[in-house]
Amino acid sequence: MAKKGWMIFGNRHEGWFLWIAGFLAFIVTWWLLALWVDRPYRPTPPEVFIALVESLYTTTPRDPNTMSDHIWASLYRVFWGLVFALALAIPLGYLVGYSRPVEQFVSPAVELLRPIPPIAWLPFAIVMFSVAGDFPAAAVFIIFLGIFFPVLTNIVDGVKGIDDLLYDAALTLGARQRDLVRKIILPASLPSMMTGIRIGVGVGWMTIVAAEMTPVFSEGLGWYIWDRAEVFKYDEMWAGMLMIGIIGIIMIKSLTYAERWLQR
Amino acid sequence: MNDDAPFIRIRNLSKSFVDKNDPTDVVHAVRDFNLAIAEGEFVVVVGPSGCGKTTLLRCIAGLVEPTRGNVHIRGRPLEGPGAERGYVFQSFALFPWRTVRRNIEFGLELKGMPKEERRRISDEYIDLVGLQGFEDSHPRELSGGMQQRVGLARALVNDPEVLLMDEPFGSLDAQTRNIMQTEVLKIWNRTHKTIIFVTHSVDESIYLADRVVVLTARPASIKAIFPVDLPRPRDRASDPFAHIRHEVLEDLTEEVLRGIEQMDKPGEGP
Repeated sequence: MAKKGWMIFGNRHEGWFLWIAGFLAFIVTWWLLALWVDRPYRPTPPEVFIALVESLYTTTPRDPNTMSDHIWASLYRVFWGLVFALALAIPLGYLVGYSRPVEQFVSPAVELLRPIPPIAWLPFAIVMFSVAGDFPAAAVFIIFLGIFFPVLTNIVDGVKGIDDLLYDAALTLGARQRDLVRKIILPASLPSMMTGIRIGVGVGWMTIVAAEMTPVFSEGLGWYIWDRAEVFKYDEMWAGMLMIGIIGIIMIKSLTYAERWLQR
Repeated sequence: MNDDAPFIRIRNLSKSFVDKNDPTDVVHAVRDFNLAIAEGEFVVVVGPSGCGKTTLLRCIAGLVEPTRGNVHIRGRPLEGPGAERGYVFQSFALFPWRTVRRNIEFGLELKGMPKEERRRISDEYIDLVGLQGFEDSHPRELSGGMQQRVGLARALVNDPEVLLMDEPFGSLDAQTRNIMQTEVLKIWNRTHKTIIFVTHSVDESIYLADRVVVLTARPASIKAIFPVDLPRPRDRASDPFAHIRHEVLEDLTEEVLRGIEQMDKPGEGP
């Protein structure tokens, strides 16, 4: 069955026209607001865009890092937080989803810790890791927390949501107990797991930006925004915010592609 | 029927379920079920709702361990579920993340068959059940009847010794149901499989079966067996058909009523 529409960022648009129109409307609205408000903290789109492009490779006397350096700093922290979170959440998630006793044992701790926003862990993380003088570790830690819980929860839901009859079906088709994990549990729970990772990365990204605004850090996109606002360079501040949004989109879309690839 | 070594021998099969938390809460689903089935026979089991017919079928499949009794196929005792006892589910139980072709190839994959060979065989069975053109569709894109065809092909592709079908057309509308009944007979003619088919539709049972086995109310055992000697395809409106229907319905209704009585007085049954 052929499907109509254009592939843009992995979404099918039966009318790309609407997509372009929406984007243009956004730019126009922004522009009009900027002209109307006419304050330095409300630059126009072209001003922001120029600032964004330039800042990627320029430094200032105050700030030895380019925007690209800041982007890298933030992503680096997210990356490691992701690695550790997946390393722990994936095996634990499958264990909890599969075994009721494990779930009951782990549940109190998880339910209690889960609602605490990762940023709230920052003071503790600073103290814990400042002993080693290692602030990046504190950042990685809170991102780890931000990603860990959604991934865990979604994997557990994914595993528990598997229709029991599918196991029976597999057995009557010649599967042995050990085939069930690879052939049923993993593929059936993959969408849930990827959803959890997407949510987790979203949370982690927002968390690191917020964390970088605290006096603890001296680089990263969060820091960049705060710093530029302090010296009234609002065009660069908005550029930073825009960059955060762009990178967020890139990360989520990459995960969606990764999911497609895993399902082959 | 050769009684020395029937193809399938079910002997004294009984299954009871005990509540783990309350050992006095026992449900007897099947009691003392005895049946011999010849190779290539199409046996249909009819019974009132809740009588234990699904449990019976699952015991024969090896999905459930009987409390007592045993099942022998070709003289060998049953040791658990396997591809030699194919199963078709009322709710289809297709793997939603796999396409039609990959659902059908599941059993072949487990055997480690290489891709080209798998494809060749799955093509055969896709033709057999009439799903050409839908090989790359996912179950959610298919109608109920089509999904059940996938279920059928998926089980048949492993060349099972016996095909177990648990109210396979129960989720389908009446017209699709009739079509699928004809399809099953067509496939049975082509493959000469031994089939044990469970239903609660008397009409369906007489239309399909070599023998109709009527079960008692819970716990299930055999109330009566009606051979159906009419040539196929059978005319549901014919007199002989109506005659057998009348007899089967009589026995079945008796058991249905007994089942209802039982519900008013909770207990273990006879």
